[in-house]
Amino acid sequence: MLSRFEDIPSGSQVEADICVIGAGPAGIAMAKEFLGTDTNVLVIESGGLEFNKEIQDLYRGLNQRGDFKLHKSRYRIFGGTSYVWGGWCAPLDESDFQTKSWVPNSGWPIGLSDIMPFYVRAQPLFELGRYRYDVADWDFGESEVLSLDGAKLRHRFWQLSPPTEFGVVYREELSQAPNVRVLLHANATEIVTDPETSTVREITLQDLHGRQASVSAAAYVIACGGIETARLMLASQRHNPSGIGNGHDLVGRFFMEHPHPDAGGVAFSVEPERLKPYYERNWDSEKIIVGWGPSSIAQERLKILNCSIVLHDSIYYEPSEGMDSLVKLSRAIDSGEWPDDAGAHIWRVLRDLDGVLRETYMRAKEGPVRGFGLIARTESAPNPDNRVSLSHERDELGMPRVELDWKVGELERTTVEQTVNLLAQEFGRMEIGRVLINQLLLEDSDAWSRNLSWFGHHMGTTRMSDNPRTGVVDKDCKVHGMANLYVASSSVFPTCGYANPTLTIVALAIRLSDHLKSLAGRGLLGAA
Amino acid sequence: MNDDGDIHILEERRRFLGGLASVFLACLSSIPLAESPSNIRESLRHFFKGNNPGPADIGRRYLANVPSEASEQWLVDAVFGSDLAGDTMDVPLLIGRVRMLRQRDFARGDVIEADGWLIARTEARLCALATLCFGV
Repeated sequence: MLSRFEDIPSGSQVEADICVIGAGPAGIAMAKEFLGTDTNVLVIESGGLEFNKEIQDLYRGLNQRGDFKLHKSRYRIFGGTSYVWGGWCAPLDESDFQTKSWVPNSGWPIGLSDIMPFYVRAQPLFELGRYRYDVADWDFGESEVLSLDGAKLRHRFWQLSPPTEFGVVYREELSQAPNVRVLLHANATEIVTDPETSTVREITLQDLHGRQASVSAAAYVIACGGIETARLMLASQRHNPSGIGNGHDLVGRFFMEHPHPDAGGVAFSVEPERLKPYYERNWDSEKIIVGWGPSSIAQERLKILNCSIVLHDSIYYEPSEGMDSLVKLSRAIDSGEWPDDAGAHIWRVLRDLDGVLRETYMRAKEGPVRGFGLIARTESAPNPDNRVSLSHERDELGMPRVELDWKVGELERTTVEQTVNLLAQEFGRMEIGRVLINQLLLEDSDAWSRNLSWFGHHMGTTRMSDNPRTGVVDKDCKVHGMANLYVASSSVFPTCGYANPTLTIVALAIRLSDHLKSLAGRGLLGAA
Repeated sequence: MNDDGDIHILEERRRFLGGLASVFLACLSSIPLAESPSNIRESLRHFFKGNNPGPADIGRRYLANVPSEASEQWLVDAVFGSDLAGDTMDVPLLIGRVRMLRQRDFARGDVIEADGWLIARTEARLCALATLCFGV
């Protein structure tokens, strides 16, 4: 059932077995898991069925780096950020779950095998075909898949969702569900616990028109994404000024994103047709993307993070940093959003005017494709100093806005540089072509980190660990020290790999649903 | 030896090294063997797409980083080694050798960054050789 906050009496208390805060992919996946069960699930969502600027503005906050705006990198609407996502789906690698001696604070308390069944179950929610994320699972016909040196590179593989807008595709199904209620325009403003802060008693709700209500449930799940989940926990200070689940000052720390640098380009010395699996997306009636990244052996040898590189825009003359920037500026003009680093891009165009003109001329002539640009997506290292905290400014509901203070470090830069180098080695060895590395990757860490693209992959702020001293949630995604509070979000990722997070978010949400179903079946929902 | 003799030897030497450079150009650019310095220059530009970087830049930068290799003979020995007998060239053999060395460099990860291009050390050495021979 779908209902609106304004339709319930102000001051009322809504009851449910499970309250899920947030109707993004995680919240909706959980709600779907309970369809047809005896468990009553209430999903509360700040947004409505349509985008609303006033509601969206509740996401405003300060990103100290200034390179993306907090209210433009996630969405308060039924369906959450699936409202605008790109649909790239990939599971984490087995090595992403492991502790790496060269990456402080790395490793999950679970392994790939623990989550694999849930990846498979998550797959259809994204309107994808069979779960197959290995090039060996696909038939590329006459085209070539490179035979890589496994000590250096491995293929990276994405299946592309249409992209599924969860709020559109699953709206009807949830509307018809007798045991699932979605309450729109309801903003969770506080998690209220007992005085010992060990059990959640209720969630307070407000809207922008002064209405208030509360939710009482046996178990509560925060599914608000990598920033808002931490915000809600930190802001719930009734019995503890450090917030909920924050006894060890971990909530909000270890924020991670996936830096996306232009990595350079490749000029082929073979016919580009040979590399078709790496630039053609349509295969076997599905859409995929194939790229490359350092093997786990190479990561260990070079002491780097995980990373991926894919081909993007065709090159008709040669890779050009000015052309990369021109494309970015033209996309910005199309989208109507002028980037904060526009000046740097204009400077790069001017500095490389020769290359821009030549490339533009060759494109206009529709000459043969000689190569492709390279775009990287690298893991970022879990760093406790990268954090979401509460600012002194408050939003229209009286909640403290967030402040995001973080840096992209030298390890991330080295990771991309080394990955490009490995690609150059393999392309050279196989006589495929030569790689041009983006000079920015060779500059100091600060200059490099000012030229990155971001795609709203907010992770790590309520990280998973067996030990409450090193993590906010346990392996069941239950907040340490709390009897009935769980998190379904990329905020639980202790390390993030290169993979876009949404498939893993939904897989973990399904896994959490199974856990809660098991508890409910034994009458233990909400028990310590 | 008198000055004329020295000049004669030097000219012979340059022709010889020019031949070597043509071998490496054939390897680099997969185009027909270049027969003169101007063709070599064009061939290099073809491979490196002209402006960014020039092969002379690659050669000069490489030699600036590894000044101990700034000798035509040293580079010839390093790249062509014992496959070069006297002043004669078995071109297919030398092409094969350069390709083998290049493959070995890439397989070993012996890659040099030159103005952004990531090339095999052997290629950088050949650029250095071309730089020393022709000042391209």
